[in-house]
Amino acid sequence: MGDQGLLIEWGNSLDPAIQQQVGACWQRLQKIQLPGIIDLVPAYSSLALLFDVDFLLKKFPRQLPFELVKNWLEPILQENPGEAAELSLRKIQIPVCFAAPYAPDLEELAALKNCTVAAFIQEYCAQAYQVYLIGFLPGFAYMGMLPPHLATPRKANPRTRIPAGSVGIAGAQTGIYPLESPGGWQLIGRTPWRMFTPEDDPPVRLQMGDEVQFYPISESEFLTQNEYTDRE
Amino acid sequence: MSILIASKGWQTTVQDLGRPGYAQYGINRSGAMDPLALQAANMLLRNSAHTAALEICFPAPALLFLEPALITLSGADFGAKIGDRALPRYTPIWVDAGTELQFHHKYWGQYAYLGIQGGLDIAPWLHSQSTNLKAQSGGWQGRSLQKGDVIALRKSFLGGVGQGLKIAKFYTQVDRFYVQQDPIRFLPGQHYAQLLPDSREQLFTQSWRIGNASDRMGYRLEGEGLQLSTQESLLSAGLTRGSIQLPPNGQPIVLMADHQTTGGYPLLGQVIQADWPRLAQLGPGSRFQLQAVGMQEAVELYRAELEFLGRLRVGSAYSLAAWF
Repeated sequence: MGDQGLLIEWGNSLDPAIQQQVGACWQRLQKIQLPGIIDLVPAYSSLALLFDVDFLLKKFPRQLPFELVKNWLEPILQENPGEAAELSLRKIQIPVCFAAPYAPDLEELAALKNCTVAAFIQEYCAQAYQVYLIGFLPGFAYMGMLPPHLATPRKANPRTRIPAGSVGIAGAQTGIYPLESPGGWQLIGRTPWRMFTPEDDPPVRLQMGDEVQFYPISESEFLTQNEYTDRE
Repeated sequence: MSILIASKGWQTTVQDLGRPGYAQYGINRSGAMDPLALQAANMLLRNSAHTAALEICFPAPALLFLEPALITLSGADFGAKIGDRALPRYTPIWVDAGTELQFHHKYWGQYAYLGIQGGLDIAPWLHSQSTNLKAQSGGWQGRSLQKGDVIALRKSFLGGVGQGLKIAKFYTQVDRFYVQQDPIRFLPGQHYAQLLPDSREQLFTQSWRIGNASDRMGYRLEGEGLQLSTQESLLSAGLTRGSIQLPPNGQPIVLMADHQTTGGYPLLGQVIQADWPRLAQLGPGSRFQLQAVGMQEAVELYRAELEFLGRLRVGSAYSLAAWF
């Protein structure tokens, strides 16, 4: 990744076993805290490490920062891979209101899948989803995999304005818009939870590796639990 | 101590060297588009390298100093004036209360910096004062400055140098880091080897135009489209500033300070850190050529910038002390 980062890759396939390895490696490197590493970005099958070139050149003036970090990493990545593959998961349950005003695409999707809206919701909430990646927007979690029956392509015409908290489907993945944003995901509900809270540190609710299960709430429950203010 | 935004500019944001550590949460680093110019201003003012400044685009705002301040202008040359007096860049300037700083003409560059001795009195967000426009957080209320905003300044530890506008007798020269004809250098990356032979030649031989839709997120390059030998769909992965993405239309995008934290386009390589300042200042409509370099050269070029800043820090400390 140029002169200020490097990418550890585990191939290019979406595979829960690989996700485990990426997540475990990420957690391990967070614990070890190598000097000069300022960002770690875990993804589906890769982990990006960004380093502070100014710091490394000052501390180790004779070495190329890239080579230096690579040499530090090699023994760490080779060390007992069995133990390293243990990823400690957080389990999080997120309320979602599937009432029509918050779920503009739900009825159409249910019709497309030849099921009732209630059956769609039940199937969607029946399983847990793993957070594969945080990206696109602050705290936007890409989660999967949806039951094949529910997977749906993005909308052909993206919306220009999607309210924060909207829960969507794109392909075999599901996600929550943490901020008001344009976007093309099929919207099936809305959570009253703020997924991005700038006052907190870290300011986002989900991280890579989390196991998320959704549960349905009524419109009145949504209104009492609603954490959003006008700003979003 | 404060500055009043007397008229709004196109985009004026508070920026320091950025907000590392949060890319894993989808929060990009932000920070100055031209980190060399920002740091040079800070060195001339005896600030730490990380001190935030105002990053100014053209049309630029008019800024009214409600208190005296020691400032330095750096980066783009927008014809700064106080009254009839043209102000030089890269030299400390003492301005009185009630003075209005205006920018009259876009002579060179895209991003100008107004560094202030002591820095801005703004609460940091996640350890940085940089504005993150997408997260609408950080900097001044998470947004670009508007007419009527009053930005408080930190108390300067230096006393005054007397009444009226005073320009220091010392300055620095940064022109050697911004030679317009020089190619923009990059380290070939993951998918570079998959470029078709014709496309590889075009990558180096054609002059790339920076498209008008370019901004703090990315610079869109326009030219003969490039093609890869394979069309496999890629899983999103973490990204760095400087990354040269190749979307399906074959027109590369260079990621800049406000880039997304992750993406799934093929990557031809990364513009070296030493050339970020020069590329940032080229801006829409400019043309340049790309040149591949090796890691050793990339690091030496960047080291030259760091050494320049190190010398400037020492030199300015003496010169400022002598002035006050």
